[in-house]
Amino acid sequence: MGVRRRRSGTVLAGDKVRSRPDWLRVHAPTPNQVRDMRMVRDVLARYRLTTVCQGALCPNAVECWGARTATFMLLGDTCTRACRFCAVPTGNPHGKVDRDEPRRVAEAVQALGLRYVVLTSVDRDDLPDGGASVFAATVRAIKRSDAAIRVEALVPDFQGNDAAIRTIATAGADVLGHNLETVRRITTAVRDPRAGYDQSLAVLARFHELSPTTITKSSLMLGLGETHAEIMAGLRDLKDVGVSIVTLGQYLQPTRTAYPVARYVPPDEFATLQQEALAIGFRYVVAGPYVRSSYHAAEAFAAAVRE
Amino acid sequence: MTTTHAVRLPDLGEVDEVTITAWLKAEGDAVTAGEDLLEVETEKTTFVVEAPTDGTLVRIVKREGDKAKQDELLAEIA
Repeated sequence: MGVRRRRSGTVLAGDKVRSRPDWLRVHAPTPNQVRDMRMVRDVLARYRLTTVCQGALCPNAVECWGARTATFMLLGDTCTRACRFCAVPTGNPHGKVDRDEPRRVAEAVQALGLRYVVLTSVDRDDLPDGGASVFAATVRAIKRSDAAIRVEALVPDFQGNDAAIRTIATAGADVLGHNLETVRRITTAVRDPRAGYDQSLAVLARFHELSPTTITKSSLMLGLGETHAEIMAGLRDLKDVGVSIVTLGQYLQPTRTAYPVARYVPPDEFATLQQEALAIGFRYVVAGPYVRSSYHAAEAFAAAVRE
Repeated sequence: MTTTHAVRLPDLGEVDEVTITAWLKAEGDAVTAGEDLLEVETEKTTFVVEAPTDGTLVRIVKREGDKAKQDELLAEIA
């Protein structure tokens, strides 16, 4: 059989089976990482909780779970929206809400010894408040158990519902996040019709108005077909609504039917974009092929606070 | 007499099944523990699996294009 010797940074010519460039390879977990990962998985199962690490089939799960970090996905495992970049199943949960979830999340946080927690959720367009009350209750439950634990709330757009946005803004989270996901032109192609570029910017602007001292954060996926000028326009729009932290990562197609990857952005382009974003005035920018919105979130928060 | 050491697909987190996409060593090659041995892909991620021990790669069980699940035998090192 022909052995393919790997050359750094290239996909080998004539390679029919491999589909990604070398910079997107990660090492399989070591036995120690596997042990830590299983411990996290056991705790999540015991408290009947979902993480976005699982729902989104995240490539960083090994690293993050090994470091005892996890991003909780609240309000169930079924999303009312059908964005084309996402692996989370779409459906109608018919208003079903688990009111005990905030307590279990706080207990799991304690059991895992987490010091920085990212909370996110599915979209719940079936609920009048989009699930904001459960989200806020979870932030408060964690803070009640230990006020020193940092909590990042990465929330949906709540269809712009101002009461829901206010509920989140006043819950006591250290970071308020909402992802713009992509540049303006590609928004309608990849996000659910109920989402919108201007609506997302409005949510971030409102967070900044309601809680001006709280750090706001947003994220763009790259490799969906956007141009450099469009990325810069997106970043300037985020800066204009008061966002402090941005993350830029490679979009990866999670399933065969999801939106296809248009391009794999090389690491040096991410490095350049990081500098360009910092020049616009963001306090902290996390950029790289495998960056996800909660990747190195604790470091980003600490750095943004120091700024 | 040598004992053979099984190379199995590690627990990759939230992964059901992978496709073997590249062997970085051929049968008969010497390998050292921790050396990159093969690449496997999921729909979203490419993982590099390292050699678990020193020795010679005596048998490749799962070839490029084959599918594998956690703990399945991929190769043998003797």
